[in-house]
Amino acid sequence: MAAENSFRDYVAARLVGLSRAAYLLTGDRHLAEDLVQQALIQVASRWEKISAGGDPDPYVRRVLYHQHVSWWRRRRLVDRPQAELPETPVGDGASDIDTELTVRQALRRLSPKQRAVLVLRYFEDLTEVQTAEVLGCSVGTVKSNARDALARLRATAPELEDLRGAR
Amino acid sequence: MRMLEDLADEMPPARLPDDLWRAGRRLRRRRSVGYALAAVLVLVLAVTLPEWAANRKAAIVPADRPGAVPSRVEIPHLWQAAVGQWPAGPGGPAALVFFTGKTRYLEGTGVAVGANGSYRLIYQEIGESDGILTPDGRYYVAQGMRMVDLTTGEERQLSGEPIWGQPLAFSPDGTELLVGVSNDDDVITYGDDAIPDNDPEKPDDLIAVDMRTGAQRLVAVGRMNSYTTAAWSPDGTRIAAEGPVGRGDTSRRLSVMDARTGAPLLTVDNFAPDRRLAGRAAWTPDGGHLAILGFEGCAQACDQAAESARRWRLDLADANTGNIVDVPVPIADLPGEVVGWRDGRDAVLTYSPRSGANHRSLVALRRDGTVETLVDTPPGVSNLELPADLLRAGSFGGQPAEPSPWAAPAWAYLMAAAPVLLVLWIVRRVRRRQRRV
Repeated sequence: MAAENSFRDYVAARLVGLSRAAYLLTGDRHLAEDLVQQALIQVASRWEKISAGGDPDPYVRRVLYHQHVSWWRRRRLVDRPQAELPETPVGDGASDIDTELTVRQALRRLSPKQRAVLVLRYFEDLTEVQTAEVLGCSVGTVKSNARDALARLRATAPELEDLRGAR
Repeated sequence: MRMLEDLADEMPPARLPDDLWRAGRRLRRRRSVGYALAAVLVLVLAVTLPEWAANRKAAIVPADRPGAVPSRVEIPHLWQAAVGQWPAGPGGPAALVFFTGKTRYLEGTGVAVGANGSYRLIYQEIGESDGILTPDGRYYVAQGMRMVDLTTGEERQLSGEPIWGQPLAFSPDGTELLVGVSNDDDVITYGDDAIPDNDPEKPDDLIAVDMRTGAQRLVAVGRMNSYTTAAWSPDGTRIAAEGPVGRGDTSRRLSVMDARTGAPLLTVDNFAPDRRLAGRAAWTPDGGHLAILGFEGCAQACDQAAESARRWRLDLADANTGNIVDVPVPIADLPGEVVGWRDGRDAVLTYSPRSGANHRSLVALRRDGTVETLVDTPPGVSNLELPADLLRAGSFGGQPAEPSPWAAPAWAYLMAAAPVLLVLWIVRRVRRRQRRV
């Protein structure tokens, strides 16, 4: 019971951040929701071990990003949760539509790993070493993926000014 | 980057199912079951793969190599797998089959010992007589001509209908099997005067069954009440058979006949009750003589002590005249059946000590009467059966074969694992309860 409560507390505290990261990774609200649910089910299945290790964030992040890459590889969605979802209204996020479209289209042209590197480095503000740990790859791979991702973004969406400052 | 922040703002918090935690627990249970199954699978593969590979090798390696027949066998484990039982699988061609009641079936059971040392049980119905091995050791021929393939575990009926009779001997080339087929009536019919209307006792037929097609060929019709022993001459042209004749089996007959036509070549009536054709390998390797087992001592209405007190000998009779032609070879203990010859000179026979009748071995009987044990068995073994090819090749002197405790059926593994799993489950329950407190 104590484990379940601490899991619920963690989810309540981190749901917004996880949902936002998932959205950036998938580019789709429904896929993002599925990704968060799948990741949290994985986390719940190992919660005692994860919470005993201290900060659960690194593990949760790893699950989220690996799940995303795995989905992309399989090109299909499997093992969706069967429970009925609460009928909560969702905002359509119609503001600033031009920017959103531009960024989304630009992100869509990236590989899942490049997108993951981009989100981890520039959205979650992780260092290159931390990003490499989450993705289970070398720091060199993180660097090259970040460089390639930014280059592609610059090429496909030159109007996004703040790319110029990114390294 | 600010644009990523802006884009992420478009995402509301993900909706989560109410049973998220329970879904995680379900996943955890599925994973635990998966790990347990994987562990069992790995264990089973680790245990069975080497044996399986050895069986495959045994199926390829010529069986009649020197040392293929183990010098000693042991009583199998209670949990020993039967032929073809998963996951142990078949044991490959047999080097020998022995029969014992000391198995989990608590009745007479065949135990096939493979050329690779594997042990597999052959279940026998209650009252089922012992079967015989084909010359190559691949098939066990059970009562009714049911063929058990020892290399695959498959069972099939050789002919369409079971042939109910006594399998006696294979032809030298292994293509035909002599069977004494009973013609007796199953029931006796009584008339109004309470006198039987029919005589249920009918003379038996001797047939040769083609081992490839199951076709039956009549060799001798109605010549004896039954066929106790039959032996095929080494060149395959003649058959010697022995059995009772006359009303109430009062007399016995030895007959040598043409193997193709069944035409009698020699008939010895009033064959003495203290002599018998020595077995399926009664013909000497040169085809000139027939081995006869004779004894001095009680011949009729004997108790067990009197039977055990018989003094046995091996005689050689001329196959053309039936006359004894050589000095008898004395036999110290109790002979069973001559099943082969070693170096063309010493008879190879099943053998029991006078002291313990329920103990069989395979020995070579030298001309001076001394015996050399070729296969020894523990007490409780009632019969031994060896493939003719190995007997002919003299492939004796192999390492004693020990039954592997791992060659077990799946239920034995489950039974062994159940207490461990139960303890683990209890420990887990206790820990969980302590954590809640």
